[in-house]
Amino acid sequence: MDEQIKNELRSILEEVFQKNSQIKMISLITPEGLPILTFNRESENGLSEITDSGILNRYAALAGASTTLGERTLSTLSQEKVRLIHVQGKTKDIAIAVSPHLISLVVTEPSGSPNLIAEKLNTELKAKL
Amino acid sequence: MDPLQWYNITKEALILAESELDTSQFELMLLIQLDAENQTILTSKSQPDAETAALFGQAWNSLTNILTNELHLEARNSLTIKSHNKILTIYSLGFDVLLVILSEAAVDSMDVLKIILRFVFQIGYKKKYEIVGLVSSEGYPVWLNSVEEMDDFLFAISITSLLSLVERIDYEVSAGGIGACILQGTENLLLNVAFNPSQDLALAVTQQGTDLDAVTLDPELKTLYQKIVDPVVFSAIVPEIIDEDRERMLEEIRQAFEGETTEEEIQTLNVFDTEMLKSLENEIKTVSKKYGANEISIGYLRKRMRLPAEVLSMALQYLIGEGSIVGRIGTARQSGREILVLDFSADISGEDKQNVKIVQDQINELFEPLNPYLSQLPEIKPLEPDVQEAISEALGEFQIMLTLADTDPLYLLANDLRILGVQLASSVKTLTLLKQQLSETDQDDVLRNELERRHTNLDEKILEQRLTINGKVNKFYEDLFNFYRLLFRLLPPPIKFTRSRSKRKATVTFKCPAHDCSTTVRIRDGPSSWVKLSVFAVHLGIQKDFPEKVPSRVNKIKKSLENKINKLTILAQKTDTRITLVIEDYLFIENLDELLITNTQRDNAINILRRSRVPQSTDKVDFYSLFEQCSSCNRWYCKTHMSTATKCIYC
Repeated sequence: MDEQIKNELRSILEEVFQKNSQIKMISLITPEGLPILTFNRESENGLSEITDSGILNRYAALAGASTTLGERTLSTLSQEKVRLIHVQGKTKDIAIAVSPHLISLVVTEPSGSPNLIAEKLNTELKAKL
Repeated sequence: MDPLQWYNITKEALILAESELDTSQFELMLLIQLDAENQTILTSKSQPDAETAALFGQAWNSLTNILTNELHLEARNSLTIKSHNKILTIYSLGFDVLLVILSEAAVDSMDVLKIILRFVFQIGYKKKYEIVGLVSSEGYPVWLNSVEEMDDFLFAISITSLLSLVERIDYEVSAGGIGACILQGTENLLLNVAFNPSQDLALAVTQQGTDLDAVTLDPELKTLYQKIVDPVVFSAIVPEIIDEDRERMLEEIRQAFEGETTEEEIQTLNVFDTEMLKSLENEIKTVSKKYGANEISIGYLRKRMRLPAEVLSMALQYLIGEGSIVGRIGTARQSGREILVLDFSADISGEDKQNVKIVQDQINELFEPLNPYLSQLPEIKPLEPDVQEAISEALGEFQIMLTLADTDPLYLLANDLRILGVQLASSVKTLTLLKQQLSETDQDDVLRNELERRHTNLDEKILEQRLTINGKVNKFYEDLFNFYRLLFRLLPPPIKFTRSRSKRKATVTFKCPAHDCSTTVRIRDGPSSWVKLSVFAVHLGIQKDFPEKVPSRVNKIKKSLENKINKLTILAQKTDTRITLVIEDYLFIENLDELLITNTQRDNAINILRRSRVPQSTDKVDFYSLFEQCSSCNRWYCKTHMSTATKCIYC
């Protein structure tokens, strides 16, 4: 991806992190399953961009596997594709929003509405991608 | 919803549930609303009057007060009192509604709650949700309410797919356990799956629309649902009549599921994950430092790190290759198991030496009370003068303890083989279909070329799958016999099985094998573990023959075990898989765990032996105080026929 676009995405993500203190991590992935950007909030050091390709690929694979498994579930109930998966955990909430141009994986504290953040990100970043 | 509405819904649900239950098993089902004087008495054999029935409410209140005020415990959810024949259970269903069930001891009152939950949805929430279903974590439908006709098994399978997803997400981002998962479709579908606290049930509701409130669960529904646990595996009812349409649909779904979360998939996700590598490195270094260990069992690491064998092996090789840990993967002397051998640094500090001594003392203390039945294990050498050698010996013995105490690695291996077996069977099925398509396709057709290409590819894949299976089967075969060799240092093989009064049990006899010795003890126990010991004792040459004239059930278990061992031996000894083996030769690997004795079964066996009986006496004796094992022939002799502490008179 063009470095200039990546820089723009970086500044948008930084702003989102700033405005929403409940966010712990955001990972952006292409619909083909390739990692774009991943930011992580560390308690002491503030915000950091993950560059380790192992971790990046792991989250990308997670997003891919989630959409596939989610679609298997939906295919029995209706003919729709997955738009959003929201998983409410004891220590973290996780949302994966799927749109034709982007998959966003957002991890927040419990009840941190990652579903809303992920969907909003997908809509806002549509123009950039 | 107001309290009275909720009471009325639960009341109607209880009345409907009664029609689905075997009422002969229930003495009383009673619904009370505290402080509102609402009562509904059902299935009452004892016909309590209203005043007596109100006592349950008072009892609940008093107990709650004591527990909350005196003992500072949180609010109660349920109260169970068991007698020999009866169980009294009181559930708090929310809005001060109590459900009192007095039933025979064998009745699981959770079944009542599951049925009530279904009717509560049918009566009070008919319009709110399109589909509501309760699914067990094993993937079976408990029940399904749907406005449209829907196959409950297909529904359950689709929810199980979501369970895999949730587990995966929880594992990857450490979410600390999942309470709910909400799925939105691209158009209108909303699905909410809520998990009960014990994570053994999934309650799924759907609705059309985009408003998430449409699929949220009301607090009172949550309260009721969270009471229900489903710890009994395979409790769901599976129809006995085969429905061809359903089988066909299930088959299609299974085809689509093929390859889900395979070992390779997990491997690609994890193997070069620096976080995992770092934590593995830390684990190794901590164990090494804390216990002064220069040998660490791979099984231990696999269990600690919760990693598949292949992933762990690759990760260790990577760490060794990178020089993060200095050592190699080797084989344990006594058990033949894989171990990580560390290049133990010679310069141990004074503090470390002290720590190692403390651990050493602890190990000594651990062994002390375990005698006499562990007396056959070699003694631990003292720490001085050669610290390193002594530590190594002690940990060697400690590893035997660990090996004995842990059959998990073998179970994991058996499970790996089960998955591989299913994948192979699926590939072979596809190959058969391809062959059939090929025979029906004309020559020189483009489609035919494509089919032939796929046929060749699949053929190669099957060969690879077989080779993988063979590798793992060899390992399982070797480990299995090593496991039993070690187990025979704790447990003796029986010489006789006879019928017992209880159908599920057999009388198992042990006797000193010395000529003319009549020292004999007996136990009564389920025969399964003992038959396994006898069968493997014969295979390992510890016992000459399997006992004769055994009950038919024992014979059946023996035959099934021998059949499996024979097949396993054939497979473990074959090298050229392409020519000699057919798919049927692999099918048995789906249930290899039947050959194993679990840690619990082994501990039970030891406990039972310590409370053996001598014939014609009601007194209990400890097998291990009467018998000792010869370290040379491995047979258990009475103490009179042991010439030394470790050798029998014949060796």
